[in-house]
Amino acid sequence: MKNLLYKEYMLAVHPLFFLFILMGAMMLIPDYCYYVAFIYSVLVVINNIFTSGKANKDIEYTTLLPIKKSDAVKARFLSVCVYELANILSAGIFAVVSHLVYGSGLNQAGIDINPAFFGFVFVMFGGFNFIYLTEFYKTGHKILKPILFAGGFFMLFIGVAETLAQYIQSPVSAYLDSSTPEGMLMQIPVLIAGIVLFVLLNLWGFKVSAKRFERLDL
Amino acid sequence: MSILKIDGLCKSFGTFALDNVSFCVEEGTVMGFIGRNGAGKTTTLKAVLGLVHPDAGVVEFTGKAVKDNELFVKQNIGVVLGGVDYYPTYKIKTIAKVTAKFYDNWDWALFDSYLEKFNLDKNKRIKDLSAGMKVKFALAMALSHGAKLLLLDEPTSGLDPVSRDEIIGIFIDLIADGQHSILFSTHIISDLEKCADYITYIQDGRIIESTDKESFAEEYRVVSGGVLTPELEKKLIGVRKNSFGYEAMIKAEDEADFVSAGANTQRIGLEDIMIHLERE
Repeated sequence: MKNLLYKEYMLAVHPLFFLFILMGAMMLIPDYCYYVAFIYSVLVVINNIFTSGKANKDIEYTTLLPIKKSDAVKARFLSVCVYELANILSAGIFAVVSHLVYGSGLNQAGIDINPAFFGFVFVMFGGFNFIYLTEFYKTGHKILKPILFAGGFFMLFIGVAETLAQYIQSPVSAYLDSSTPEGMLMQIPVLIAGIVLFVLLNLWGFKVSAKRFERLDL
Repeated sequence: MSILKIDGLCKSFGTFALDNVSFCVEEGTVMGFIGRNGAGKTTTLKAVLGLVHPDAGVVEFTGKAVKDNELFVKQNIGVVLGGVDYYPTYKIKTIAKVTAKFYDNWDWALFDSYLEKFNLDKNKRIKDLSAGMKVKFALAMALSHGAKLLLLDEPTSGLDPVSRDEIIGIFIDLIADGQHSILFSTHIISDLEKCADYITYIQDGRIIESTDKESFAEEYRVVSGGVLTPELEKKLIGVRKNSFGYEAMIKAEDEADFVSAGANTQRIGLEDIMIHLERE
Protein backbone atom coordinates (compact mmCIF):
# COMPACT_ATOMS: atom_id res chain seq x y z
CA MET A 1 0.00 0.00 0.00
CA LYS A 2 2.92 2.30 0.83
CA ASN A 3 4.24 1.83 -2.71
CA LEU A 4 0.87 2.49 -4.27
CA LEU A 5 0.48 5.70 -2.29
CA TYR A 6 3.98 6.67 -3.42
CA LYS A 7 2.80 6.09 -6.99
CA GLU A 8 -0.33 8.14 -6.36
CA TYR A 9 1.66 11.16 -5.20
CA MET A 10 4.51 10.79 -7.69
CA LEU A 11 2.32 10.29 -10.75
CA ALA A 12 -1.43 10.50 -10.28
CA VAL A 13 -2.10 13.33 -7.82
CA HIS A 14 -0.47 16.48 -9.12
CA PRO A 15 1.03 18.66 -6.35
CA LEU A 16 -0.85 21.63 -7.79
CA PHE A 17 -4.10 20.03 -6.62
CA PHE A 18 -3.06 20.66 -3.03
CA LEU A 19 -3.23 24.41 -3.66
CA PHE A 20 -6.99 24.02 -3.58
CA ILE A 21 -6.72 23.16 0.09
CA LEU A 22 -6.30 26.90 0.57
CA MET A 23 -9.93 27.29 -0.44
CA GLY A 24 -10.45 26.70 3.26
CA ALA A 25 -9.61 30.41 3.53
CA MET A 26 -13.15 31.04 2.30
CA MET A 27 -14.11 30.57 5.95
CA LEU A 28 -12.90 34.16 6.31
CA ILE A 29 -15.59 35.51 3.99
CA PRO A 30 -18.25 37.18 6.13
CA ASP A 31 -21.82 35.94 5.56
CA TYR A 32 -21.34 33.17 3.07
CA CYS A 33 -22.48 29.68 2.10
CA TYR A 34 -19.37 28.04 3.49
CA TYR A 35 -19.99 24.68 1.81
CA VAL A 36 -18.77 26.38 -1.35
CA ALA A 37 -15.22 26.13 0.03
CA PHE A 38 -15.40 22.37 -0.60
CA ILE A 39 -16.98 22.40 -4.05
CA TYR A 40 -13.59 23.04 -5.63
CA SER A 41 -12.28 19.88 -4.02
CA VAL A 42 -14.81 17.64 -5.65
CA LEU A 43 -15.48 19.33 -8.96
CA VAL A 44 -11.90 20.36 -9.66
CA VAL A 45 -9.47 18.24 -7.68
CA ILE A 46 -11.03 14.80 -7.26
CA ASN A 47 -12.63 14.80 -10.69
CA ASN A 48 -9.30 15.85 -12.17
CA ILE A 49 -7.41 13.04 -10.44
CA PHE A 50 -9.64 10.66 -12.39
CA THR A 51 -9.69 12.57 -15.69
CA SER A 52 -5.91 12.97 -15.70
CA GLY A 53 -5.65 9.30 -14.71
CA LYS A 54 -7.71 8.43 -17.75
CA ALA A 55 -5.59 10.62 -20.02
CA ASN A 56 -2.37 9.16 -18.59
CA LYS A 57 -3.65 5.56 -18.76
CA ASP A 58 -3.18 5.20 -15.03
CA ILE A 59 -5.24 2.03 -14.81
CA GLU A 60 -3.31 0.37 -17.65
CA TYR A 61 -0.05 1.17 -15.85
CA THR A 62 -1.21 0.29 -12.35
CA THR A 63 -2.86 -3.03 -13.12
CA LEU A 64 0.31 -4.36 -14.73
CA LEU A 65 2.24 -3.79 -11.50
CA PRO A 66 2.54 -6.71 -9.08
CA ILE A 67 -0.37 -5.61 -6.91
CA LYS A 68 -3.89 -6.76 -6.18
CA LYS A 69 -6.51 -4.85 -8.15
CA SER A 70 -8.35 -4.12 -4.93
CA ASP A 71 -5.22 -2.42 -3.56
CA ALA A 72 -5.23 -0.01 -6.51
CA VAL A 73 -8.79 0.94 -5.53
CA LYS A 74 -7.82 1.24 -1.87
CA ALA A 75 -4.90 3.54 -2.72
CA ARG A 76 -7.20 5.77 -4.74
CA PHE A 77 -9.74 5.95 -1.90
CA LEU A 78 -6.94 6.81 0.51
CA SER A 79 -5.44 9.53 -1.67
CA VAL A 80 -8.89 11.09 -2.19
CA CYS A 81 -9.62 10.93 1.54
CA VAL A 82 -6.22 12.40 2.43
CA TYR A 83 -6.93 15.33 0.15
CA GLU A 84 -10.41 15.86 1.62
CA LEU A 85 -9.13 15.66 5.19
CA ALA A 86 -6.43 18.20 4.34
CA ASN A 87 -9.15 20.43 2.90
CA ILE A 88 -11.24 20.07 6.06
CA LEU A 89 -8.20 20.67 8.28
CA SER A 90 -7.35 23.82 6.36
CA ALA A 91 -10.96 25.01 6.63
CA GLY A 92 -10.86 24.15 10.35
CA ILE A 93 -7.83 26.34 10.90
CA PHE A 94 -9.41 29.23 8.99
CA ALA A 95 -12.65 28.63 10.93
CA VAL A 96 -10.77 29.24 14.19
CA VAL A 97 -9.25 32.39 12.67
CA SER A 98 -12.70 33.47 11.53
CA HIS A 99 -14.09 33.06 15.06
CA LEU A 100 -11.14 34.97 16.51
CA VAL A 101 -11.53 37.80 13.99
CA TYR A 102 -15.30 38.08 13.69
CA GLY A 103 -16.39 36.51 16.98
CA SER A 104 -19.45 34.28 17.08
CA GLY A 105 -21.42 36.41 14.69
CA LEU A 106 -24.54 35.11 13.02
CA ASN A 107 -24.01 34.08 9.39
CA GLN A 108 -26.90 35.55 7.38
CA ALA A 109 -26.17 33.62 4.20
CA GLY A 110 -25.98 30.07 5.47
CA ILE A 111 -25.09 27.80 8.36
CA ASP A 112 -22.64 29.24 10.88
CA ILE A 113 -19.12 27.88 10.95
CA ASN A 114 -19.53 25.36 13.74
CA PRO A 115 -19.07 21.65 14.55
CA ALA A 116 -22.42 20.74 12.96
CA PHE A 117 -21.27 22.38 9.73
CA PHE A 118 -18.08 20.30 9.73
CA GLY A 119 -20.10 17.18 10.56
CA PHE A 120 -22.18 17.83 7.44
CA VAL A 121 -19.00 18.40 5.40
CA PHE A 122 -17.75 14.94 6.42
CA VAL A 123 -21.04 13.36 5.32
CA MET A 124 -20.96 15.35 2.10
CA PHE A 125 -17.46 14.08 1.24
CA GLY A 126 -18.32 10.52 2.31
CA GLY A 127 -21.39 10.51 0.09
CA PHE A 128 -19.50 12.05 -2.80
CA ASN A 129 -16.73 9.44 -2.57
CA PHE A 130 -19.20 6.59 -2.35
CA ILE A 131 -21.13 7.68 -5.42
CA TYR A 132 -18.18 8.84 -7.53
CA LEU A 133 -15.81 5.96 -6.96
CA THR A 134 -18.33 3.12 -7.03
CA GLU A 135 -19.69 4.55 -10.29
CA PHE A 136 -16.20 5.03 -11.77
CA TYR A 137 -15.06 1.51 -10.97
CA LYS A 138 -18.04 0.09 -12.85
CA THR A 139 -16.09 0.79 -16.03
CA GLY A 140 -12.64 2.02 -14.96
CA HIS A 141 -12.75 4.76 -17.56
CA LYS A 142 -16.11 6.57 -17.75
CA ILE A 143 -16.14 9.81 -15.80
CA LEU A 144 -19.29 11.62 -16.89
CA LYS A 145 -21.79 9.58 -14.86
CA PRO A 146 -19.65 9.63 -11.70
CA ILE A 147 -19.30 13.40 -11.66
CA LEU A 148 -22.94 14.00 -12.65
CA PHE A 149 -24.30 11.72 -9.96
CA ALA A 150 -21.79 12.54 -7.22
CA GLY A 151 -21.68 16.26 -8.07
CA GLY A 152 -25.50 16.27 -8.13
CA PHE A 153 -25.58 14.68 -4.71
CA PHE A 154 -23.07 17.25 -3.43
CA MET A 155 -25.19 20.20 -4.60
CA LEU A 156 -28.41 18.65 -3.36
CA PHE A 157 -26.82 17.96 0.00
CA ILE A 158 -25.74 21.58 0.33
CA GLY A 159 -29.27 22.71 -0.55
CA VAL A 160 -30.90 20.41 2.01
CA ALA A 161 -28.32 21.16 4.72
CA GLU A 162 -28.65 24.90 4.28
CA THR A 163 -32.44 24.70 4.21
CA LEU A 164 -32.49 22.66 7.40
CA ALA A 165 -30.08 24.91 9.25
CA GLN A 166 -30.85 28.31 7.87
CA TYR A 167 -33.99 28.75 5.82
CA ILE A 168 -36.65 26.87 7.77
CA GLN A 169 -36.83 28.18 11.29
CA SER A 170 -37.25 25.28 13.68
CA PRO A 171 -35.66 23.78 16.78
CA VAL A 172 -33.42 21.83 14.37
CA SER A 173 -32.17 25.00 12.70
CA ALA A 174 -31.72 26.67 16.08
CA TYR A 175 -29.60 23.71 17.16
CA LEU A 176 -27.55 23.46 13.96
CA ASP A 177 -27.05 27.14 13.24
CA SER A 178 -25.67 28.22 16.57
CA SER A 179 -22.11 29.41 17.01
CA THR A 180 -22.20 30.30 20.66
CA PRO A 181 -19.71 28.29 22.77
CA GLU A 182 -22.55 26.36 24.45
CA GLY A 183 -24.34 25.77 21.16
CA MET A 184 -21.18 24.50 19.49
CA LEU A 185 -20.49 22.13 22.37
CA MET A 186 -23.97 20.69 21.92
CA GLN A 187 -23.18 20.05 18.22
CA ILE A 188 -20.20 17.79 18.91
CA PRO A 189 -22.37 14.63 18.42
CA VAL A 190 -23.24 15.88 14.90
CA LEU A 191 -19.54 16.25 14.13
CA ILE A 192 -18.77 12.78 15.49
CA ALA A 193 -21.69 11.29 13.60
CA GLY A 194 -20.39 13.01 10.44
CA ILE A 195 -16.92 11.55 10.92
CA VAL A 196 -18.34 8.07 11.57
CA LEU A 197 -20.50 8.30 8.45
CA PHE A 198 -17.49 9.53 6.42
CA VAL A 199 -15.51 6.47 7.51
CA LEU A 200 -18.39 4.05 6.94
CA LEU A 201 -19.30 5.46 3.52
CA ASN A 202 -15.67 5.21 2.40
CA LEU A 203 -15.27 1.66 3.71
CA TRP A 204 -18.51 0.59 2.06
CA GLY A 205 -17.61 2.48 -1.11
CA PHE A 206 -14.23 0.77 -1.22
CA LYS A 207 -15.81 -2.68 -0.87
CA VAL A 208 -18.30 -2.04 -3.65
CA SER A 209 -15.69 -0.39 -5.91
CA ALA A 210 -13.10 -3.14 -5.41
CA LYS A 211 -15.68 -5.79 -6.23
CA ARG A 212 -16.76 -3.96 -9.37
CA PHE A 213 -13.18 -3.31 -10.48
CA GLU A 214 -12.21 -6.94 -9.91
CA ARG A 215 -14.99 -8.07 -12.24
CA LEU A 216 -13.82 -5.79 -15.05
CA ASP A 217 -11.99 -7.14 -18.07
CA LEU A 218 -9.34 -4.55 -18.82
CA MET B 1 9.91 -27.87 -18.84
CA SER B 2 7.03 -25.55 -19.61
CA ILE B 3 7.36 -22.15 -18.02
CA LEU B 4 3.87 -21.21 -19.19
CA LYS B 5 1.00 -23.57 -19.83
CA ILE B 6 -2.32 -22.42 -21.18
CA ASP B 7 -4.99 -25.08 -21.15
CA GLY B 8 -8.51 -24.83 -22.54
CA LEU B 9 -8.82 -21.06 -22.23
CA CYS B 10 -12.26 -19.81 -23.23
CA LYS B 11 -13.59 -16.28 -23.12
CA SER B 12 -16.65 -14.93 -24.85
CA PHE B 13 -17.16 -11.24 -25.66
CA GLY B 14 -20.38 -11.60 -27.61
CA THR B 15 -19.18 -11.21 -31.19
CA PHE B 16 -15.74 -12.66 -30.47
CA ALA B 17 -14.63 -15.63 -28.42
CA LEU B 18 -11.43 -17.37 -27.43
CA ASP B 19 -12.24 -20.99 -28.01
CA ASN B 20 -10.29 -23.61 -26.10
CA VAL B 21 -6.91 -21.90 -26.45
CA SER B 22 -4.13 -24.25 -25.35
CA PHE B 23 -0.37 -24.10 -25.78
CA CYS B 24 2.86 -24.17 -23.78
CA VAL B 25 5.99 -22.03 -23.72
CA GLU B 26 9.12 -24.02 -22.95
CA GLU B 27 11.90 -22.67 -20.78
CA GLY B 28 14.68 -20.90 -22.68
CA THR B 29 12.74 -20.52 -25.91
CA VAL B 30 11.00 -17.86 -27.95
CA MET B 31 7.40 -18.54 -28.84
CA GLY B 32 5.94 -16.47 -31.61
CA PHE B 33 2.20 -15.95 -31.20
CA ILE B 34 0.81 -15.07 -34.57
CA GLY B 35 -2.49 -14.26 -36.12
CA ARG B 36 -4.33 -11.45 -37.83
CA ASN B 37 -5.35 -8.30 -36.04
CA GLY B 38 -8.30 -9.22 -33.86
CA ALA B 39 -7.55 -12.96 -33.85
CA GLY B 40 -7.32 -13.01 -30.03
CA LYS B 41 -3.59 -12.56 -29.35
CA THR B 42 -3.88 -9.63 -26.94
CA THR B 43 -6.91 -11.14 -25.19
CA THR B 44 -4.96 -14.35 -24.62
CA LEU B 45 -1.98 -12.43 -23.22
CA LYS B 46 -4.29 -10.39 -20.99
CA ALA B 47 -5.90 -13.57 -19.74
CA VAL B 48 -2.43 -14.86 -18.81
CA LEU B 49 -1.95 -11.73 -16.71
CA GLY B 50 -5.39 -11.95 -15.13
CA LEU B 51 -6.50 -8.68 -16.75
CA VAL B 52 -9.21 -10.60 -18.58
CA HIS B 53 -11.21 -13.19 -16.68
CA PRO B 54 -11.52 -16.42 -18.64
CA ASP B 55 -14.86 -18.22 -18.73
CA ALA B 56 -12.98 -21.52 -18.58
CA GLY B 57 -9.48 -22.89 -18.71
CA VAL B 58 -6.32 -22.78 -16.66
CA VAL B 59 -3.11 -20.79 -17.03
CA GLU B 60 -0.06 -22.01 -15.16
CA PHE B 61 3.23 -20.19 -14.73
CA THR B 62 6.09 -22.39 -13.50
CA GLY B 63 3.46 -24.94 -12.51
CA LYS B 64 1.46 -22.49 -10.40
CA ALA B 65 -2.07 -21.44 -11.32
CA VAL B 66 -1.96 -17.79 -12.35
CA LYS B 67 -5.40 -17.19 -10.87
CA ASP B 68 -4.23 -18.00 -7.34
CA ASN B 69 -0.73 -16.52 -7.61
CA GLU B 70 -1.29 -13.13 -9.22
CA LEU B 71 1.46 -11.32 -7.33
CA PHE B 72 4.07 -14.05 -7.85
CA VAL B 73 3.23 -14.17 -11.53
CA LYS B 74 3.47 -10.41 -12.00
CA GLN B 75 6.74 -10.28 -10.07
CA ASN B 76 8.24 -12.86 -12.42
CA ILE B 77 6.76 -11.95 -15.77
CA GLY B 78 7.99 -8.93 -17.68
CA VAL B 79 5.19 -7.39 -19.68
CA VAL B 80 5.40 -5.13 -22.68
CA LEU B 81 2.02 -4.32 -24.17
CA GLY B 82 3.21 -2.23 -27.08
CA GLY B 83 5.51 0.57 -25.91
CA VAL B 84 5.23 2.68 -22.79
CA ASP B 85 2.36 5.07 -23.44
CA TYR B 86 1.28 5.95 -19.93
CA TYR B 87 2.18 9.16 -18.11
CA PRO B 88 3.70 10.64 -21.29
CA THR B 89 4.82 13.91 -19.70
CA TYR B 90 6.91 12.20 -17.04
CA LYS B 91 10.58 11.43 -17.35
CA ILE B 92 11.97 7.93 -17.79
CA LYS B 93 13.69 8.17 -14.40
CA THR B 94 10.45 9.09 -12.62
CA ILE B 95 8.46 6.22 -14.12
CA ALA B 96 11.33 3.82 -13.36
CA LYS B 97 11.68 5.12 -9.80
CA VAL B 98 8.00 4.50 -9.12
CA THR B 99 7.88 1.15 -10.93
CA ALA B 100 11.01 -0.14 -9.16
CA LYS B 101 9.29 0.18 -5.77
CA PHE B 102 6.91 -2.63 -6.63
CA TYR B 103 9.45 -5.29 -7.56
CA ASP B 104 11.33 -7.38 -5.01
CA ASN B 105 14.21 -8.09 -7.38
CA TRP B 106 14.58 -4.75 -9.14
CA ASP B 107 18.20 -4.27 -10.15
CA TRP B 108 19.13 -0.61 -10.72
CA ALA B 109 22.57 -1.50 -12.10
CA LEU B 110 20.93 -3.78 -14.65
CA PHE B 111 18.36 -1.12 -15.51
CA ASP B 112 21.07 1.49 -16.04
CA SER B 113 23.03 -0.95 -18.19
CA TYR B 114 19.98 -1.51 -20.41
CA LEU B 115 19.41 2.24 -20.71
CA GLU B 116 23.01 2.59 -21.82
CA LYS B 117 22.75 -0.34 -24.19
CA PHE B 118 19.54 1.01 -25.71
CA ASN B 119 20.92 4.53 -25.80
CA LEU B 120 18.12 5.93 -23.66
CA ASP B 121 18.50 9.16 -21.71
CA LYS B 122 16.76 8.81 -18.36
CA ASN B 123 15.96 12.52 -18.33
CA LYS B 124 13.84 12.23 -21.46
CA ARG B 125 10.11 12.42 -21.18
CA ILE B 126 8.03 9.52 -22.47
CA LYS B 127 6.29 11.71 -25.05
CA ASP B 128 9.66 12.60 -26.56
CA LEU B 129 10.62 8.99 -27.19
CA SER B 130 10.25 7.44 -30.63
CA ALA B 131 8.12 4.31 -30.99
CA GLY B 132 11.25 2.18 -30.94
CA MET B 133 12.61 3.91 -27.85
CA LYS B 134 9.30 3.39 -26.05
CA VAL B 135 9.52 -0.33 -26.69
CA LYS B 136 13.15 -0.37 -25.57
CA PHE B 137 12.27 1.49 -22.37
CA ALA B 138 9.42 -0.95 -21.71
CA LEU B 139 11.85 -3.81 -22.33
CA ALA B 140 14.47 -2.28 -20.01
CA MET B 141 11.89 -2.12 -17.21
CA ALA B 142 10.60 -5.62 -17.92
CA LEU B 143 14.14 -7.00 -17.84
CA SER B 144 15.27 -5.17 -14.72
CA HIS B 145 13.14 -7.00 -12.21
CA GLY B 146 14.46 -10.47 -12.90
CA ALA B 147 11.55 -11.65 -15.02
CA LYS B 148 11.87 -15.24 -16.19
CA LEU B 149 9.25 -14.88 -18.88
CA LEU B 150 8.73 -11.91 -21.14
CA LEU B 151 5.23 -11.41 -22.42
CA LEU B 152 5.34 -9.03 -25.33
CA ASP B 153 2.35 -7.86 -27.29
CA GLU B 154 3.38 -6.76 -30.76
CA PRO B 155 6.64 -5.20 -29.57
CA THR B 156 7.91 -4.69 -33.08
CA SER B 157 4.75 -3.37 -34.73
CA GLY B 158 5.13 0.13 -36.04
CA LEU B 159 8.93 0.09 -35.80
CA ASP B 160 11.29 0.65 -38.69
CA PRO B 161 13.24 -2.40 -39.94
CA VAL B 162 16.47 -1.35 -38.18
CA SER B 163 14.75 -0.90 -34.81
CA ARG B 164 12.93 -4.20 -35.32
CA ASP B 165 16.21 -5.91 -36.02
CA GLU B 166 17.69 -4.39 -32.85
CA ILE B 167 14.78 -5.64 -30.75
CA ILE B 168 15.03 -9.11 -32.27
CA GLY B 169 18.76 -9.07 -31.48
CA ILE B 170 17.92 -8.29 -27.86
CA PHE B 171 15.55 -11.26 -27.73
CA ILE B 172 18.18 -13.59 -29.13
CA ASP B 173 20.78 -12.36 -26.62
CA LEU B 174 18.32 -12.70 -23.81
CA ILE B 175 17.38 -16.33 -24.28
CA ALA B 176 21.00 -17.35 -24.89
CA ASP B 177 21.45 -17.98 -21.15
CA GLY B 178 18.63 -20.54 -21.20
CA GLN B 179 17.03 -18.83 -18.19
CA HIS B 180 14.64 -16.56 -19.99
CA SER B 181 11.69 -17.32 -22.19
CA ILE B 182 9.74 -15.06 -24.46
CA LEU B 183 6.18 -15.19 -25.69
CA PHE B 184 5.60 -12.48 -28.20
CA SER B 185 2.66 -11.79 -30.40
CA THR B 186 3.14 -10.30 -33.78
CA HIS B 187 1.79 -10.17 -37.27
CA ILE B 188 5.24 -9.35 -38.67
CA ILE B 189 6.27 -12.78 -39.78
CA SER B 190 9.81 -11.90 -40.79
CA ASP B 191 10.56 -11.22 -37.10
CA LEU B 192 9.56 -14.77 -36.28
CA GLU B 193 11.74 -16.17 -39.04
CA LYS B 194 14.68 -14.53 -37.30
CA CYS B 195 14.19 -15.52 -33.69
CA ALA B 196 11.26 -17.79 -32.86
CA ASP B 197 11.81 -21.39 -31.84
CA TYR B 198 8.13 -22.20 -31.66
CA ILE B 199 5.04 -20.81 -33.28
CA THR B 200 1.48 -20.71 -32.10
CA TYR B 201 -1.04 -19.68 -34.71
CA ILE B 202 -4.38 -18.28 -33.65
CA GLN B 203 -7.28 -17.68 -36.01
CA ASP B 204 -10.65 -16.27 -34.94
CA GLY B 205 -9.94 -17.17 -31.31
CA ARG B 206 -8.92 -20.75 -32.04
CA ILE B 207 -5.43 -22.20 -32.06
CA ILE B 208 -4.74 -23.66 -35.50
CA GLU B 209 -1.23 -24.85 -34.73
CA SER B 210 1.34 -24.76 -31.95
CA THR B 211 4.61 -26.35 -32.87
CA ASP B 212 8.27 -25.65 -33.55
CA LYS B 213 8.99 -23.27 -36.39
CA GLU B 214 10.53 -25.81 -38.76
CA SER B 215 7.73 -28.34 -38.34
CA PHE B 216 5.19 -25.61 -38.92
CA ALA B 217 6.78 -24.63 -42.23
CA GLU B 218 7.23 -28.28 -43.19
CA GLU B 219 3.54 -28.99 -42.82
CA TYR B 220 2.62 -26.99 -45.88
CA ARG B 221 3.57 -26.61 -49.53
CA VAL B 222 2.66 -24.05 -52.13
CA VAL B 223 1.17 -25.57 -55.24
CA SER B 224 0.35 -24.43 -58.78
CA GLY B 225 -0.37 -25.96 -62.17
CA GLY B 226 -1.37 -29.48 -63.08
CA VAL B 227 -4.78 -30.93 -63.76
CA LEU B 228 -6.87 -30.88 -60.65
CA THR B 229 -9.61 -33.35 -59.90
CA PRO B 230 -12.51 -32.20 -57.72
CA GLU B 231 -10.99 -34.24 -54.84
CA LEU B 232 -7.68 -32.40 -55.16
CA GLU B 233 -9.43 -29.04 -55.42
CA LYS B 234 -11.04 -29.68 -52.04
CA LYS B 235 -7.57 -29.93 -50.52
CA LEU B 236 -6.46 -26.48 -51.67
CA ILE B 237 -6.03 -23.88 -48.95
CA GLY B 238 -6.29 -20.18 -49.76
CA VAL B 239 -6.54 -20.69 -53.50
CA ARG B 240 -6.19 -17.74 -55.83
CA LYS B 241 -7.15 -18.24 -59.47
CA ASN B 242 -5.93 -16.07 -62.31
CA SER B 243 -5.75 -16.18 -66.10
CA PHE B 244 -2.62 -18.35 -65.94
CA GLY B 245 -4.04 -20.95 -63.61
CA TYR B 246 -4.08 -21.00 -59.83
CA GLU B 247 -1.85 -20.78 -56.82
CA ALA B 248 -2.69 -22.28 -53.46
CA MET B 249 -1.33 -23.99 -50.37
CA ILE B 250 -1.70 -27.65 -49.52
CA LYS B 251 -0.83 -29.86 -46.58
CA ALA B 252 2.57 -31.49 -47.11
CA GLU B 253 0.96 -34.91 -46.65
CA ASP B 254 -1.02 -34.31 -49.86
CA GLU B 255 2.01 -33.28 -51.89
CA ALA B 256 2.45 -36.65 -53.64
CA ASP B 257 -1.13 -36.58 -54.96
CA PHE B 258 -0.61 -33.15 -56.48
CA VAL B 259 2.76 -34.08 -57.98
CA SER B 260 1.11 -37.12 -59.62
CA ALA B 261 -1.43 -34.74 -61.13
CA GLY B 262 1.40 -32.73 -62.69
CA ALA B 263 1.30 -29.84 -60.23
CA ASN B 264 4.38 -27.92 -59.11
CA THR B 265 4.96 -27.88 -55.39
CA GLN B 266 7.45 -25.87 -53.37
CA ARG B 267 8.35 -25.19 -49.79
CA ILE B 268 6.56 -22.21 -48.31
CA GLY B 269 7.59 -19.43 -45.95
CA LEU B 270 5.75 -18.52 -42.74
CA GLU B 271 4.34 -15.35 -44.17
CA ASP B 272 2.84 -17.17 -47.13
CA ILE B 273 1.40 -19.81 -44.82
CA MET B 274 -0.34 -17.07 -42.88
CA ILE B 275 -1.65 -15.41 -46.02
CA HIS B 276 -3.04 -18.69 -47.38
CA LEU B 277 -4.58 -19.67 -44.06
CA GLU B 278 -6.34 -16.35 -43.82
CA ARG B 279 -7.34 -16.06 -47.48
CA GLU B 280 -10.97 -16.90 -48.05
